[in-house]
Amino acid sequence: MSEVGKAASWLVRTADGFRWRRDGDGVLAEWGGVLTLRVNEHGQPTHEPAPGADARLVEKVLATGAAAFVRALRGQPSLHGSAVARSGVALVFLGDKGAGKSTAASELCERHGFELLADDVAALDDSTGRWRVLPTESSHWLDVEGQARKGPIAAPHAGRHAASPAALVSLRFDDEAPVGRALPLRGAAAYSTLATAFLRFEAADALRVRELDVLASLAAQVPTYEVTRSRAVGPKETALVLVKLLESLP
Amino acid sequence: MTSRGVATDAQLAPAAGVHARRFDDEVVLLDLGGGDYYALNAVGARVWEELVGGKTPAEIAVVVATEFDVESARALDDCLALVDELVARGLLRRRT
Repeated sequence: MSEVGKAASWLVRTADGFRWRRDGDGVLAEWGGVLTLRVNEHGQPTHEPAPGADARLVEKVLATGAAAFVRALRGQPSLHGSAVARSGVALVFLGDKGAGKSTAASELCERHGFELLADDVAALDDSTGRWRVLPTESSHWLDVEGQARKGPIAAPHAGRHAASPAALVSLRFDDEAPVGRALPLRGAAAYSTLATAFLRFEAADALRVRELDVLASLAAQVPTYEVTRSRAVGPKETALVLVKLLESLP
Repeated sequence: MTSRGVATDAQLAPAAGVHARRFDDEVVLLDLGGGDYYALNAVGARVWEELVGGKTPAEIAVVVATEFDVESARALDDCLALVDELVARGLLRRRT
């Protein structure tokens, strides 16, 4: 009837080659081979590209991991995922690498009139008492077919304003579910999905508790869904499932 | 006292470093000491919240039997089993 189930072990998501340390009154972070970021005692960041670094990679890390790191130092959460908005209402896409987060965002921006808020890291803000997704990225890194391009692709419409998330959507391929379908995730299932996407840079106890508070608050305000589809279901069909989900929400 | 070890009139509290938050009708427990998260289903969440509120397993079994429409003896048995497991995992401690 009742049970204890282990939900997750410690998860510390860091980019490959990433490390950071306290440096005097500030912080020094390094994305190996890409850039070094210094954040001073006032929280102001400056960066220096690594010698010979690919300028596109520098641009991407600055817009995603480095931005999330600076926000985390200020106690502001970010999720690994893409986000789009239409009429001030956002959808946030979560999931493993290759689950179709960026492709879904690209498709919705290209063909359904959405604005891009984030391609890889969704910045969250609750300073108004309600969770919002902030516009932080204006370019896609995958095209609508999910193929990587040589450089960023400017979104047709880049979001300029924070948007209220209507749903947090975990995307997953499942060949047992040939037709795309959206199912609500509740309770610990919602927690596990959000915790997996939560970007964290250190495992201090106080930050763990703060993270639990953030995720509980987020889950209480915003419904979490899982959209599963087989790999035979293409981006166009997936986008239609997502639009239908958005339109079904209150 | 039951054969499991936790008395039906035991007073229990969350162990140090254990933090609980509700997610819908379930509860997620963060154990800073062990470094793990645990999830309690709807019944377990109710048991946890009543324990934290100061009720004994026997008192909670009455609540569970009523709210979840289960027979009293089974409610008490399940309640004690969960409490035993929570104590064994270091998530609950006896109040002193």
